[in-house]
Amino acid sequence: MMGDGMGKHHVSMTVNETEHEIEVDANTTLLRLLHDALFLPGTKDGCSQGVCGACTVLVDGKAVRACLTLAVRLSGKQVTTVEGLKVDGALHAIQQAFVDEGSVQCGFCTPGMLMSSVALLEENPRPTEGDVREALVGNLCRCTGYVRIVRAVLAASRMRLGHGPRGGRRPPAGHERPHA
Amino acid sequence: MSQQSAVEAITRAVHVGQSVRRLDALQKVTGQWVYGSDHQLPGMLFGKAVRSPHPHARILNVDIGRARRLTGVRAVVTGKDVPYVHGSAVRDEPFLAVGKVRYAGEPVAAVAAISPEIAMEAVDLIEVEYAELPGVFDPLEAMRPDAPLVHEDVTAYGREPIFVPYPSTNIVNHTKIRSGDVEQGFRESDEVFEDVFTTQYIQHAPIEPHAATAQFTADGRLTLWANTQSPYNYQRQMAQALQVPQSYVRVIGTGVGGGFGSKLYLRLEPLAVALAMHTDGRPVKITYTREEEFIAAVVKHPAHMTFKTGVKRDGTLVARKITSIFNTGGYADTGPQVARNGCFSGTGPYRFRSVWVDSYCLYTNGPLGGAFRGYGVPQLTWAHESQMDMIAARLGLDPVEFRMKNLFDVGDVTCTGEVLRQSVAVKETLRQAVEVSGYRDPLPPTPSRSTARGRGLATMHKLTYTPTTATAVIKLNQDGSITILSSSVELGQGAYTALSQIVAEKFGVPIERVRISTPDTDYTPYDQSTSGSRTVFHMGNALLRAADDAMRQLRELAAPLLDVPVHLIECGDGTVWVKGHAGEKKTFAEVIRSRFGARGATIQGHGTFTPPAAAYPDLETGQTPKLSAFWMYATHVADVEVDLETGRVKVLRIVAAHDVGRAINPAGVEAQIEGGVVQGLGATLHEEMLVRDGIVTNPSFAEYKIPTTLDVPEIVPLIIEDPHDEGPYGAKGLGEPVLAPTSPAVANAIFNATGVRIRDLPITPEKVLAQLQLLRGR
Repeated sequence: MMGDGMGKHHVSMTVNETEHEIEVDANTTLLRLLHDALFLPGTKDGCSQGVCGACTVLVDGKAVRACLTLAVRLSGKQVTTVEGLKVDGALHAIQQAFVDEGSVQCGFCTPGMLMSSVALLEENPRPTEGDVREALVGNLCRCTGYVRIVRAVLAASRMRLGHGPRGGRRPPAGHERPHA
Repeated sequence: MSQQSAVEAITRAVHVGQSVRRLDALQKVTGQWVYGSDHQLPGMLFGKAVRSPHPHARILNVDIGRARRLTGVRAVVTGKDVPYVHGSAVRDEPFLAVGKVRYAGEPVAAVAAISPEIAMEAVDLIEVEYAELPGVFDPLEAMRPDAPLVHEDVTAYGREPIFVPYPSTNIVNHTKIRSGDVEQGFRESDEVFEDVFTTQYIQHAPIEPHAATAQFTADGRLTLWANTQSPYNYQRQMAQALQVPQSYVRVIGTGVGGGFGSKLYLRLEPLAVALAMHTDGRPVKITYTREEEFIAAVVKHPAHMTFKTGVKRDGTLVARKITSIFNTGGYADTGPQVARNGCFSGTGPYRFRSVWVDSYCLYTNGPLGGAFRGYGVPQLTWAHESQMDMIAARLGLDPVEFRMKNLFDVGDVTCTGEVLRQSVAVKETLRQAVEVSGYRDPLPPTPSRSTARGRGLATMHKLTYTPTTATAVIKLNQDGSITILSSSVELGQGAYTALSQIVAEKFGVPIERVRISTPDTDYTPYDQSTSGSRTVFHMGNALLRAADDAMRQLRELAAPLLDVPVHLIECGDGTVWVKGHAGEKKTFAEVIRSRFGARGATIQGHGTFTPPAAAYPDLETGQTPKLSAFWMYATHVADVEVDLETGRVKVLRIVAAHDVGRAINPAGVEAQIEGGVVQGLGATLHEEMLVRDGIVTNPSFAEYKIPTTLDVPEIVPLIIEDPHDEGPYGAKGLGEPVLAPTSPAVANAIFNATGVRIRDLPITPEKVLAQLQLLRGR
């Protein structure tokens, strides 16, 4: 899967809080590594040209295009994919917001959207609608028209501000959402 | 369901009409939904095609020797190895090119290897010698008698009987509508206007590319995993091509990352199958690159439409003659059906006394035209709604009043002779779009003198391809929970949620008790396809019938248990009871156990739905008593701002009113409207596949720009409900109309702002600026 033997490189990286010791080719992308070798299919391949954003993951908390990132460069790095977003087994606020706001249609862009949104909210917990639109401009969606995706990011921001910095859990039943 | 009982059922509904969370959302936000491109099997090989760089050429030689010898290559095939042809409307397309290539991107050879990298390397080692042939790229030129022939004899191919090709021409289908005396109609008109409108090549651009995996077993049977919109189209087409019984072909539908029509008929699957024939049982997977999506999947047909319309000075529409020409490229795919279907909407939702339509589908050496959300209707809508406003301006009529005067009501007759008997809410879409948009109110002032603002609107109607059939099985499990077996595909449109709501409603159980299957032609029964905005109407009805069948069996089981005749057993809310004794209910599970013992058994209800009384139109006149199971209607109002110095158009707001009969999941309906409007805006303002002499020159997302988060105006979706008494709980359809009125509404708003009339999509700043300069020069 990882190519044909020659020029293998050793990489130790953390993916979704699990440490991996991996042999990769010099030209193996992070996308291929995650999707095909580590069986984390949530990171999607929409163009392999770094344009559509479906393969967006976090490397040390920053959003990157996995299709343009060489795995060999990631020794010692922390990689987070959509599979690693849950907090203590519960949906991350952004995942919950995408479910609640009806932001998912075919869902192929969704993992990349979620990862770009997480990166935004970590950097800017209180984004304006304009901030959200700017942050997601590199994530293409053909189904939704982005309306409910933008709405979900703003909702997740409110949810997190009301429930601590990690804010992964849904508000308990009967608890009113702040600013909602 | 009669009109009265339909209305009654709607009033009582607890699931239907409620906005519910999508049933597929949890899997999609956690990365667990498995798409075709995610699919993996043990021992899987990776396929890759060698594609022609020429749009029209003889193949002189294909040298595969070096590729075969490359380590890791397991199979190399050319057209000679796989003498099979496939096609949707016309069976004209070889699995791999034989003798000549007819479009740039056509597969000439294919390789299967143990890794995608090796497959890619092997492809580069294959040498093909071509002798280029003169090509034909413009469909109007392709109609000339002296044009190069793309196919020597189109009439020699197998085809569906509703299509009419002409021998020794590039015309692969000619659809006619003849209604009344159109020449007499023009004589009776006060004014006759003739205008030409065109549309561009559009790529569907689903974010997930096409992907398929094929595997043969030792008994000669094929399994095909594909991100298809129609497992049964794929099964039928593939069995027909291979000349094997359909039971030899099993199609398993994977998750689909967007379709919009592009994944409706075989496209890359024949390559995977051709390779899998030569790998001794190892599965072969092919995934399109993004570039292949542009050059070797299907595209939305460019159309050239001439509209001649006769009208009375008071605004009464009298007669219309249309010539529409659809460019379907090197192979027909479903182009003949697109050209045919589009022309049925050419009048718009308006009364005419006489109509004459000639709609042609033309072979050229361009990219392959296929199904695209709307099946030709968006092209015709662009023409009829642009011309409506042009006529209104020429006659000094108000665009709203002019439309209201002519729009369909119940009882009106379409140009194909169909009496519209119910659910004709087009006027209501117009009324509400006008009211909610504040159409009569002045636009907010422009921020500067170098910009101008305007408002425009457009209406539309669309049929659904008819007749088609959906079948379903409802399995009542031992505990009374429900499993749906259906071949409808979740493309993102929300089908699984809406269909589950319908079933939960019918049985009166919580939606969590309902599970819906993914499609597999070995296990889930026939559904024609997930296309044509047909799923909720057709599959919803099949499910209601399956539910009735399951309930009938439950009643028969309950009769001895409750010791009353069957006709006294009532069924609902997940329980049965004796009529008049609703206090003493038995659960489904109790009834099942009473007959089958403690471990119970499953009960299977079967349902089949084909719309009643529908018939194909006459080939010479287009006339039929019922063309469509239902008609969908919509009106969009666009507010725009035009930069007078650059010609750039900014859309400020779209109000989109859609008559859906009945919204099963209103939040889902609104979400689909929003997404469709944005897709429509892309096609209106900037999307265009540039094709020079048959070669696509912008085959990437970097060069072909689909709308981003920054291209989205305010969108106001409006749900109009005029229940259809043959629809499940009154529902019709929605998926295709959502983008059709957007383009002409924007064009009409630009005219309103500036006096500039654009007839050719897309409306680029260059075109607007050129027209502005012409106006200023006057």
